[in-house]
Amino acid sequence: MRVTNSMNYRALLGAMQERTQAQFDAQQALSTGRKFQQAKDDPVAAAAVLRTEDRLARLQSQQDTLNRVEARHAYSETRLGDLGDTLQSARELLLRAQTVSINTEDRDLLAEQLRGMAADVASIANTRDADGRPLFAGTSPNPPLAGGPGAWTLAADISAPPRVEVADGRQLANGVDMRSALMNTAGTADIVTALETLADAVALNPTDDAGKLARRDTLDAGLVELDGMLERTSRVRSQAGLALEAVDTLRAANDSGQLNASSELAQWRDADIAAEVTRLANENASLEAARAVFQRLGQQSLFNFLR
Amino acid sequence: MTQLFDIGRSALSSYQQALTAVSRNVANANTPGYARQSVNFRELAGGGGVDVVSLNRSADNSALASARDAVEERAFAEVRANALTRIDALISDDSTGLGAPLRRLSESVDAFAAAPTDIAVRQTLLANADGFAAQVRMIDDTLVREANQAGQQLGVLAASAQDQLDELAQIQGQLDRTERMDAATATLMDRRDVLLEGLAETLGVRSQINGNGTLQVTLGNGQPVIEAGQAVRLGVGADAEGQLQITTNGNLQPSRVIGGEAGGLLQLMHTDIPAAQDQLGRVAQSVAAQFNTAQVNGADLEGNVGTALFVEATPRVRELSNNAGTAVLGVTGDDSAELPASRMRLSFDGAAWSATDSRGATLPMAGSGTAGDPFTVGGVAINVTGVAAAGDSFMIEPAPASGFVSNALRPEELAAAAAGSAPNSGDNSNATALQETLRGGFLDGGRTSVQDANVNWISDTGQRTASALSAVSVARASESFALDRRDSIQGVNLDEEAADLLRYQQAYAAAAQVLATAGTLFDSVLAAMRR
Repeated sequence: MRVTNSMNYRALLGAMQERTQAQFDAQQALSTGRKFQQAKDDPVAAAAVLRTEDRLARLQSQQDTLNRVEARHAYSETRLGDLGDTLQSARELLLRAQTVSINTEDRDLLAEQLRGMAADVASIANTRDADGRPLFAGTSPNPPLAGGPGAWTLAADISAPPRVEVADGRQLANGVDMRSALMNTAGTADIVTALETLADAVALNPTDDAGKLARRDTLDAGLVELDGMLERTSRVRSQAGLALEAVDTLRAANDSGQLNASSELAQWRDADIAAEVTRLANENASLEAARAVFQRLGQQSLFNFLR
Repeated sequence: MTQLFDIGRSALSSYQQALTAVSRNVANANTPGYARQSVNFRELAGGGGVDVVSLNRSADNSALASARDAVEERAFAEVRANALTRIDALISDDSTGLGAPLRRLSESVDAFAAAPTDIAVRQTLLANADGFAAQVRMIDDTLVREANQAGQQLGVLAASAQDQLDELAQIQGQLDRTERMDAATATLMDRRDVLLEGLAETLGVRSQINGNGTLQVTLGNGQPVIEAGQAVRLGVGADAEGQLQITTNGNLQPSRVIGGEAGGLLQLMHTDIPAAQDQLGRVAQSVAAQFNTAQVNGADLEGNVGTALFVEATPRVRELSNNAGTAVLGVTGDDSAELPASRMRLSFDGAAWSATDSRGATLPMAGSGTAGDPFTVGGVAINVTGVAAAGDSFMIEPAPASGFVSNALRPEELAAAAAGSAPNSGDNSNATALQETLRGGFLDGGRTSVQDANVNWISDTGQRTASALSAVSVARASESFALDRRDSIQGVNLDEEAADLLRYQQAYAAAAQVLATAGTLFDSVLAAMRR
């Protein structure tokens, strides 16, 4: 084939443009730290990166939800602990009230203490979270107990807590279901009213045998009732404990999921810096060589020898 | 002795012409389209010297034709690939694509389901919904701008092709009157070849130079663009579907007969950009449909039934400008889960209506087209009023993304709770349902989530851009091969010219020496006579 100057020029220019493009690509990979810049460079990797980023974002959302659930359950557990302690104190108080040698003043004092404890229980039952919403009312915006001493009413709209997604296909209750722990064993009164009724019984000072017997029976039944309350509180508290345990397990799974997704993302997206540096060096050398060839060929001409 | 003079003079004249041709070659070594010239010597009859019989122009019509074809293909591939690369960058980039806004929207729905009464979370969700709608509009604006620029560029190309065509018609007229090959004719031919290549590059004009020197210049369908020595008038006009096309003498030319840069632009405007807009509209409308459905299925923080979060646009109907009937189509989305991914055409043949997709394949259609029993096809319900004439057609396009906006709701108006819930309820069941719908399959009959649809769109555009770019590589390689073949024949090699220069210079000097010798001989004869 007859080679002409234009063919030489085009071939050399084309080679230099190719090398410049390759050099630019390597520089881009190094400056952005990414293997590819847009989907056309690697459509499969681009799709994988987007899916992995979506998965990572979802795991992060679930991690955030786990934190919310954990905070709520931890606070619930603390408050349920307080409730248990209060009920335990009430039980001990009731035992003291049963002693035969107790005098009227002590009885009144004990009854007053028990009423104070009932008020504490009401306060615990109506605990609000950081956002000002009741902790133990489920989805209801209203606190479980309304009214005041001697006239407590239990809200009718207390519900189970809402369930929230904490992992793919896994939901946890965002709080404890307090409904069983807010009622007496028979389900006829709320626990605060039940405690206040007990306080009234403690304060009684019957003089006849029948009255004394009735008071003793009431206090005995009160002890049984308090045992029931303690048991139900403990059961609800264990809901929180179990949820916190589940949160721990799920968080560990979430952490490892995020780690996996991050490393997968890095594999798809991140440039191999060592390889790119080598590529850049190679491309620089190739471009230099192409330039040198261009210059050398440009200098060579038979005309140089015509004198 | 006279013969010696004659021979020397003829040689001097011939080598001077040869040296002129060489100097023209050297001067035009870098002139585009220049074909190397050389002279053909002939021994003069009667053994008397040398003569230049003709100027030889080293051009091969078949090599030139191959080069034109290759240039046309490369131009077509490059225009399209460059535009696709821009679209690809637009939709796959973190800052301009839909990936990040969709992710943020999905994250805020997750937070909304986890903390349904938190006003800050609700505000974030509203802000992200607005951000998503803004991004959709931004992408749509960019696509519209891309299409507008392509339309303007098409006009520029048509004008430039017109100039080339006019000049070509004039040059060919001069060439038709030329009888012999001389330097002026060669210059005209060089210019003609440059213009033909330019027309192939801009419009994909085909040309053939016949053995007798006549020229045929046509579009892809064989329609001549130079008739009786006159160039047709090129322009740009809109067809019945409202799409821009190249016109010749005011007649619309189908886009398939146009190649080169204009062909690439037409493909971009008629296929690639609409496809991207359709996909964008589909993703946007799917998000809107899911949020709006969730909103009306639930109760907001004030205990009211939710209202639409996004303004849902209906599919767009465009009546073809050449429709003869009075039919009007009312189109609504019938099932957002089956939103069409591309536009379709509804045609009336005089007896029945039929629907075809963008590739011309018939789509299954149900219903009778009345208000009570509308046609249902490709996710839309169509109600026909008025009377259609045979041959009438309508284009039905997915809802445009240009007017995609979110309604200005207050945070309290987002419906997280189940329908009928009391005000201020902490119930999250509706938000959880939305969370599940967004994540689960929604499009393509419940197989594809919106985020998946976006990923598929990006990866599909990436694939198409990559294959368009590899088509460019192939076209460039074949162009380089064809140009090498052409230049191998008609290009200038300066070494060759230097050698010729030396050769003719020496021959010229030798011829001058012949004259000098003849003069010396003549002087000798004169001196002998004087003695």
